[in-house]
This record gives sequence, C-alpha cells and structure tokens, in this order.
Amino acid sequence: MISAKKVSKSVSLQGAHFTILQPTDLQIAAGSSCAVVGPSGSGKSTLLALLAGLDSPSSGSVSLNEVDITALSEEARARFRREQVGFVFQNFQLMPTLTALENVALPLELQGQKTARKTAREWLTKIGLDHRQQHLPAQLSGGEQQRVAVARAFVTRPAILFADEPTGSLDGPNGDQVLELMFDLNNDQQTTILLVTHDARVADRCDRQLSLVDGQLE
Amino acid sequence: MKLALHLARRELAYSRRTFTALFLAITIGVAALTAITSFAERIELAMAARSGELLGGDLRVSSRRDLQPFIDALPANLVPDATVLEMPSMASTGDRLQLVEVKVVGGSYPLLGELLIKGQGSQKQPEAGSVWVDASLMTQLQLEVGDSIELGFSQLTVAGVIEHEPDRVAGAFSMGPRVILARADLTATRLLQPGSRFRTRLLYTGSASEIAAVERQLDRMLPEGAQLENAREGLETTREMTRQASRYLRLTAFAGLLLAMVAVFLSVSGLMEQRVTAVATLKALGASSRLVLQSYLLLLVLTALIAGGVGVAAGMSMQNLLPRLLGDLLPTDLPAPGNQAIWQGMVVAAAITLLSALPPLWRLVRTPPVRVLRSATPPPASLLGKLSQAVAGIITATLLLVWLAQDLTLGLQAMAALLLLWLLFALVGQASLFLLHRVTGGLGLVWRQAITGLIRHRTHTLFALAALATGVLALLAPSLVQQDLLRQWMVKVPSNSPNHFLIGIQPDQVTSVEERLAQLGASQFSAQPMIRARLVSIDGLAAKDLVLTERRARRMADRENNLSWRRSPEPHNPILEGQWWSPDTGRQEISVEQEWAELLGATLGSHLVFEVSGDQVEGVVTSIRRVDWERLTTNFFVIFSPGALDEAPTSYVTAFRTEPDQGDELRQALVSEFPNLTVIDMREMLAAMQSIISRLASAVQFMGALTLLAGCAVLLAVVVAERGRVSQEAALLRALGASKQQINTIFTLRFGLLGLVAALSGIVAAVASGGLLATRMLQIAYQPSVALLVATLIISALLVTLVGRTGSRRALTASPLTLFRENS
Repeated sequence: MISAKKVSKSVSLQGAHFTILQPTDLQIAAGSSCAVVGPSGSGKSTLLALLAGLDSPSSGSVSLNEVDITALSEEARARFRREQVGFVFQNFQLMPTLTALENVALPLELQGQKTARKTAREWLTKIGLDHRQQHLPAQLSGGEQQRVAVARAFVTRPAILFADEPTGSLDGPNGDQVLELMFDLNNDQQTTILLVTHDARVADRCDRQLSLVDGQLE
Repeated sequence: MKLALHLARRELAYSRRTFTALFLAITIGVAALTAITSFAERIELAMAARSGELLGGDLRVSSRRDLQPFIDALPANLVPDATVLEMPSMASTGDRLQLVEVKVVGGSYPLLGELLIKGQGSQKQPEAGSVWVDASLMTQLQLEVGDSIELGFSQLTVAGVIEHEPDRVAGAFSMGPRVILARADLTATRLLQPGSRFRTRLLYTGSASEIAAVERQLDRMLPEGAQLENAREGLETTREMTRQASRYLRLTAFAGLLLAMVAVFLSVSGLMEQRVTAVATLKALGASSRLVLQSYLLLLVLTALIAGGVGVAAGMSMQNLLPRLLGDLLPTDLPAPGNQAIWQGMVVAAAITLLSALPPLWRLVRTPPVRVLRSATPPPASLLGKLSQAVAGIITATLLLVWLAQDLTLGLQAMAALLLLWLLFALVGQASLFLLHRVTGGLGLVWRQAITGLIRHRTHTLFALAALATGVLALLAPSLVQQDLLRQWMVKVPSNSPNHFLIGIQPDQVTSVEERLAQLGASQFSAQPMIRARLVSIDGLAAKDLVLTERRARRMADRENNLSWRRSPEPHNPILEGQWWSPDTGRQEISVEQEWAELLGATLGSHLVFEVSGDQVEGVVTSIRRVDWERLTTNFFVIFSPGALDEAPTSYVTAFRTEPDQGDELRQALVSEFPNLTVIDMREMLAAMQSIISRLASAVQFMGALTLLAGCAVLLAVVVAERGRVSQEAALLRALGASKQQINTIFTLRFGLLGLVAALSGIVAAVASGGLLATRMLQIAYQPSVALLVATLIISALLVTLVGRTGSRRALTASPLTLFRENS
C-alpha cells in the first residue's frame, strides 16, 4: 500500500521559489495498479520520486506498506527499496558495464542472495531472452533492454513497483510487449504498481488513473 | 565486498580505455620520478659511502699553491699522512705527445680505498723512476708496460695501468689521461716551476677524536687560500654540483608527475561523469553509498598499485641508463640503489591516483538516487565550487612536491614555476582557439567541425595543450642550449686565430721559446708574464668582506688570480675609462677588465692589494679595459704597470697558431727541447668539452622525453574522457551522410591543429627559456636552430595526431548505430 499525506516539493533556483508539487494526499491499495497522467512538466516524475523514496519531500510524509519512508535516512531508504521496491525507467537504466544476466541478478545480489545468478537466468528464460544472457545493454535492442529492466524489477518479487514512462522509449509493438509482461507479473505477484505516463493506452491498463496538472492532482 | 569486487571487475572490463589512459599516466609519472630519485640516491650513497675515499682521507687541506713551506713549518703531529699534487703536463714517447694530468703522490697515499693496478692488485705508490698511467694513455702513445715515457726532464718507466683510483671524482673533467708519479721523482722532472698551475692536497687519517684535534689546530694556522674539508661533512662542492644538477632533473620529473595527476583527474572525472546515472540506478535499486565507494576505490587502488609497480620497474631500468648516458662524468662504481625509490614510487602512485580521483569519486558516491529519473539533470558546478576544487588540488599537489623534494623552497618554487607556465600556455591556447575559430569560419564543414570539437570542451583542450606544450618545452629547451654551447665552442677557434696555448715558460726561456716558435712556423705568439696572486682588499675592504651578490663575483674574489704587467696597451683591449700609464710612470698603476671591475665594485682610483707568494703588491686603478674573450689569446683581468711585479715569481704564457697538419711536429719539437712546458691543443680541449656537453644534454633530454610522454598521457586521458561526446558527434555526422574520409579528415585536422598549437607554444617557451639560460647564465650567443624548431613542430604535431586518433579510433571505425547505442 502506498500512502502520501500532504506531500509537497519546492525548490529554490537563483533566489526564486518554485513549487513543483502542491501538498498532495494519496492512497493506493495493495495489489492494485495506478497510473498518474499529465502533460510534460506537470510534476509526475517528482511525485513518483517522492513516493518511491528516491527524493525527500519539502513537507508531508510518505508511507510504503505502513513504513514512513520520509522518516528514514538515505541509507535506510536504500535498504527498504532493496527489500520492497522495484523500478522500471523510461530509458531502461541498465548498468552499462554489466551483462543482461548480471543486470537481472543485481538486485538479488544487493540482497545478498546466494542463488542470484540461477534465479536471474530463470527470469531471462521467462522473458524470452535466455539467448542474450551475456550481452551488454549496448548490444541489445530497446525492447530487449526494457524487458531485461522489467525482469530486474520483478526478480526480487517486490511489494511495490514504480514505473516511469515504461514504454516512453519504445515503439508500439515493443511497448505492448513490455506492458503485457509487466501486468502479467503484476497479476502473478500481486504487486502494487504506480506508473507515470502520458500515454492514455498505458494508463487504461491500470485499475485507477490520477491526473496531475501544474503540480496538483485533479 | 564480493559484489563490490564484481562491479569493479566489470567496470574495468567495460572502461578499458579509461583505465589504459589512467595506467599509462601513473606509470609514466612514477617512472620519471623513480628514475631521478633512485639515480640521485645512488649518487648520494656514493658520496656518503665514499666521501672519505673521494676526499682522499678523513681530513684534507687543499690549495692551488705549493704547500711545501707550510708542511716544513708544521709540528710533527700535524705533518700530513699523505700528499697529492696534481698538474697538467706533457708526456711523450718517440714522436708521440699527449697532454696528461700528472698526480704526484707522497707519504702513505692512498690513505683510504684502494689504488688498483691491472694485474698487480692494490698498490701504494710507483717505485722510483716509474709511473702508472691510464689505459687511454697506453693507447694514445702506443705504449706497453715496461716502455718509457718522458715527463718534464725525466724519463720514466711505465710500470702498470691504473684500474681504479680511489680519490678520482670525475674523470672527464681532467685535462687528459692520468699519470701517477712518486713524490721523490718530482724534483727531477722540474715540472714544478714558479707560475705552474697545480693543486696540492695534504691528507690526514685517524680516529674521529684525532682528526677533530688536527682539524682544530690546522684551522688556526691554515695558509691564505687553503681549504680544510673533512669526510664527515662530505665533499661540499661535489655535493652542491650534484644537487644543482638533480634540481633540474627533479623539476622535469615533478612536471611529469603533475601531468600524470592531471591525466588521472581527467580520466576519473570523465568516467565518473559517465557513471552518474548508473550509480543513481544502483542506489535506486537499494545499493548503499559504501558499495559504490568500495567498488571504485578497489579499482583505483589496484590500478595505482599495478601501474605504480610497472612505473617503478621502468624507472629503475631507466636509472641504469642515466649513468651510461653520462659516461665517465660519474664515478664508475655507483652503489646499487636502495629501496627508498621503490616505496616512494608506490606511495606516489597511490597518492596521485587517490588525491586526483577522490574529489570526482566523492561527488559520484553522493549522487542522489533521484538522478535516475529523466527530469533530474545534474546541476552545473558553481564557479566557487570549481575554484575551491582547483585550490585544494594545487595545495595537495604542492604538499606532495614539498614532501618529494624534502625541501620547502624547492617544492614551492617548482609548483609556482609549473603553475605559471601552465597558466601562460592556457592563455596562449585560449587565444589560438579564438583565432583558429575566426580564421577557419569560412573554410567549410570539415574545418569548422575540427575546430568546434576543440572549442566545445575548452577546459579539456587547454589541459591537453598545456600538458603537451610542457613536454615540448622540456625536450627542446636543453637541445637548443646544447646546440649553442657546442656552436660557441666551435666559433671560439676561428680559422686564422691561435689554436694552441703554451704555459709554464720560465723567464730565462722566453727568448729561446719565441725563437723556436718562429723557426717552427708558428705565428701570432707573444709571451706574457703571469703571476699567481690572491685579492686581499679593495679600497681597504678585505676581499672576504666585500658585499657581492653574484656567485660569480664571490668566486672571482676568492680564487687565485693571474696578474700580468705591460708597458703598452694591447690593441684588442680598448680603454673604456681612464688612461693607460706612460711608459715611465713611477706609480704602481693597474688596468682592470670591465666586467671584473663591475662585479667586484672597483672603479677608477680604487686601491687594490694582492698577495703574491706571501708578499703584498698594491696599486691604483687608472684604466678600465674591454677584453674580447672570444679571441683565443692570452688575456688578463688585472694588469699592472711595469716594475710593480718585478720581484714576484713569474712564468710566461703564450697562445700561438700553427697549421693543423704541423701541430704534432711542432709540439713534439717544443717539448723535447723544453720539457717543462705544457702545450694545450685547443681542438682537443674543445672536443672534450663538446663530449661533456653532449652527454649532459642527452641525460636532460631523456628526462624531457619522459615529460613529453606524460603530456601525451594527458592527451589520451582527454580523448578518452571525451570519447562519449566524440562518438556521438561521429555517429551523428555519419548518420547525416558524412563520408568516412570526411570524418577521418575532421579528426586528423583536430588533433593536428591541437598538436601544432601545443608544439608552437612549447617551442616559443623553449626558445625564450633557452635564451634566458644562454644569455644570462651561460653567457653565450644564442641562435636557436630553425631546422630543429621545424623538426620539433612537425614531429610533435604528428605524435599528437597519432595519439589522438588512436584514442578515438572506435569513433572513427564503429557503425553509427553502435555508437548511438553505446552513448544512449
């Protein structure tokens, strides 16, 4: 479950004060999926960053599965993400130095799991990329990279998945393939999904849609 | 830790080029430093271990005068254990003749160390009537052991060949091969005459307390001009000389090291910049800052240690090469280097890597995870932030240099000099980029792209430019000065001027020697009186109390002067101030050379007092002359009016000219008739000087070449750091339809222009600093060779183009799609 209470984000730039996200209340039930839509610059990614604990809010609090992550230190938040959270990013954000297999195994290795490689291999087979295990991200197509990123997000069976424009860098067929994969896994694992997108087709796949305009939920 | 190691290993495999640049930079910097440090250490060790041996004993009194009267007056407990007298002379056999350095040994010579004679082992002194000689003299005179040679008025048997002489510091600085003679045979040779040039040494050995007691007593009664040195303090002069020489070499090594630091900083900064998103991703996935720090620290420390090890090994090999380049300018048996240079090299490798890499690494480690999202663009570093980083870098580098130099002033001076130099290079670079941009604006796409690439990342370009220019400067400056030094020694013997000197002519030999010279076809000779003297005072102020800022002036005040006297002025010595004396002047008048007067503060009317063989001679300066030292003839700083020096022990000296093909015959005839004379063939002396200069220069050039390599390492670091941007550019151009040839031309032009600007800047700096060195310090005419400058320009530009193109090879060969993917 994701819960935000009066969470807001403001920044100061060259003496001027900007509010990127107005105080926002939000509740997303466990196992459900929610899409945050809105035009570019509306504050979608900021909201995602705050909810996922990647950034600290200027005010308010965020709880994930009853844990107030805003009260945690950065290192403690990192530990929490390691155990409970998965991510899919628009630009895939695979580690360029690691192979597809190593990228998928990375979250498990961060958790200290001894069978990381074996599990990662099973996941690559599951997403149809077992023949690409030893390839570096630069040697994979965009669609393949995002599938690896999805596998990396689900491999630890996270309670919550945050996705930032997961199909934003993909063409129609590849985007559809990745979405299918994400929502299939969501069904299997009962993961709570929060994704931000400006693609109505993606938002339509979610149980719930929230619209964000000028930093305010409508 | 396992994961950290895994990430580090993967990073290494992925960023091979970055780590290659890093590795090369550290290796070159450490190699340069290790070579110099360990070479200097060997010289220091030799000085420390053999200072007694090199000194000739535990205590030494040295003088340029005959100390026999002093010895005769000494109480029994102060009589030296051994004596040494060294002087140039002529050795001959049959029709062969050679200028030699005679060493007359007496007492229990050698006191310390071993005098080794080939096939006879350790020996003390040659038996009466015999000599030991250098192997080179055996060849030159075609001698065999048992043959006779003539030395002065004596005929002596060559009883052996010298294998090792314990107190010989630097063989190449002598006037000729060594001949060792026993003191008992000296009188018969009649080589010791009034006015002869020689050095005397009285040597003592004993326990520390005995030596201290002798030193105390001798110190009180030391004759004027004599020096007292003990082995404990070492050979101050030799040490000072070594220190001076190693100072320049160290500066080039420091330049190499600082360039290595710059290269490490650029490589690591570039890598860290590329890894911001990856680290943000890692952190978003739950990795701790510690894991990031651990993995990169592991990688950097391992690289530093391996590169440091390779650098130390390379440096140790190079320091073996330096003594070979310097040949016999050094003691032949240098001790093996200790471990200091090894651990110092390793510490320096780790220090330069970590000090340069930590700031960018720290910034990377602190990357917030939110940076993984597209909206989070990294904030540009503030000017204050950049400035404080630069100041911190400079302070750290200065501390490192001070520690390495073990000398606060030298460390600070080196840092200040290098910073100033780089600032100048950066300014020149900036101006050149501006000009190139303006000039090439209308020249079409290829030129425009080539220049834009240099301007777009201006800081990197200026770093590379300054580094390469430093390398060119370090390599070229000594070569320019060397050429001029060599040329200077060549032009000093014009084809129609005297080419020999004849010294040691006794007053009663003057007429017959001049007659003989005329008969033998020599020309341009004129025997001049020469009297050895020491300056006592100028206008009542003792020589030792004169306030002299220039070192050269102090040397002039302290050393033995050669005085002369004349009736009439020399035509080539124009009078600048005052008047030459009338032939029948009743006063004791003095004419001094212009520079001597300026350096020592003597003016018209100054009252000068000299000491000649214990007596004081005085006079008043009535004229100041200009002397053309370029003329190879007998010239004197101080000339007295007739009569003043009548009582002083006098010898005569003359220059003379003979046709080159008659030189041997003439010298042979002169020496057989007047065995006490010494004939110096200027061509041989000049050849010896040229050989010394060439050898010193090659050692310095060797270090300069290392600095240029370090400059190339910086260039490689820049190229690798910019690889991403360059690939993107190449991919974009290719995607837009640029041909491979066009891309190739763009990159060749870009690096070629960078090389040209860097080489030009380095060349201008080398010409300027060489000029300063030549005119201010060496006081020689300065004419940089245009051919050398052009060759340097072309070779440097080619080298930079080659290194630059090699570093960005992938951008030139890979497909646009691959490049886009790699950089997406």
